[in-house]
Amino acid sequence: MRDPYEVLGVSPDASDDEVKRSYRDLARKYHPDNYQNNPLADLAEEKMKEINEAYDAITRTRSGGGACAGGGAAQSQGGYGYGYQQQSQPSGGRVFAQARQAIQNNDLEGAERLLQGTARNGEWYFLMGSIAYRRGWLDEARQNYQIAVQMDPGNMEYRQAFSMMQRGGYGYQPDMAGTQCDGMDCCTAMMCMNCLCGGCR
Amino acid sequence: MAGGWLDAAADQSMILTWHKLSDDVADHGFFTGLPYRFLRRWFQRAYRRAAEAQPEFDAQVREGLEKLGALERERSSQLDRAADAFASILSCSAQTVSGGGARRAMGQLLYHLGRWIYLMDAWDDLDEDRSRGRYNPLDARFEGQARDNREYLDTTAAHSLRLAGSAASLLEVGEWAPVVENILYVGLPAVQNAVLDGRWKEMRDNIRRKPHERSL
Repeated sequence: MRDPYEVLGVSPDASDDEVKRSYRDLARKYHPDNYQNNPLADLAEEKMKEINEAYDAITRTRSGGGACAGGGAAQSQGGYGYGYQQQSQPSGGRVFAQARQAIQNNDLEGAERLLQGTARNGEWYFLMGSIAYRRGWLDEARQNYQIAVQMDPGNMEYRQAFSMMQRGGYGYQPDMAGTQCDGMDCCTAMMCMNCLCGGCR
Repeated sequence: MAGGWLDAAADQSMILTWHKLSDDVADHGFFTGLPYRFLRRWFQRAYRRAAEAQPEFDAQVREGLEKLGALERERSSQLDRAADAFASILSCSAQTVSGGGARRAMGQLLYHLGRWIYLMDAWDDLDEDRSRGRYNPLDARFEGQARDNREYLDTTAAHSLRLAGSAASLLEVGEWAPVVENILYVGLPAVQNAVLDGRWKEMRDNIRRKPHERSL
């Protein structure tokens, strides 16, 4: 394991409060909600595990090496037991379950192949929406989720997915209070926007 | 400061520049396209060296631009497919990143940054494209009612920025983290508001004229 203080981004002589604050900031950053149906969810899960282990190691060391003092990490996000996988409420048959697993494994072409020729019910549109979302096709994802909700209005999973699209996703938002876009950020943003000058189309 | 990553970035920049110039040549008549032809000829040797160093990237840029051109010619109403053709070009740059996880995260960051740029550019060019009868993916998607769907575009573009931010969080950028966060969470959202409000061109010109006035 990497140095736990390095993982949490604090110095070894940081106070307990500083350690806890840093841990909570990082846990908020890599929370499963920020990576729902995200193709990078597995990387975020690894990161969350590393952070939890680092926090556990520090609290154990500082409490004299006994049982995990405070159990902060153990009581925290608990890894990625929830998120796309646990929230799933499969209602379709085996094919839909296989498609869900393929999506979870980022095998999007495989998932699409499985869905070809199957009945286009609410779950079909939901899964197609999930495939589109993982591809970054957010407009198509939203449209598919909307149809899924229309076909099966009582399904919470479909409603949550559509609601998420209507809100523009979830995401970690760092505390940028008092921050202004200074010249360097604007220059870099302008470099990105330079395509507007001649158009990227 | 030379280094593998810097050389790779320079090569990719050269490749993108050359293909952009080729696109400009194709979009203009003979006489109006002369400046672009001249510049392209000027860069040709540099482009060849860059393409030899990064043949896969060059091929993917070429393929992406062809796909984009085809979608534009058929005036596709599938907004995501058109944006994808452009965004995929940008995400190709991630291939030079070492480490599977970092490469994936960088690819995702660049993809959603590219999608965002494509959408903002489409909105910014709406009036000009309409007046010239050119393809505009937003007009095609919303059947000529793009301006009535400002909120929809705002939401989906912001969503891409959030996904870019989530990807950036998974990269080890060290001391650059505050700069990256400032760009993704402050700079680009500010630019987005300006574009959607129609203030972008004026803001851009002001920043260029008055670089000492640093804040938006």
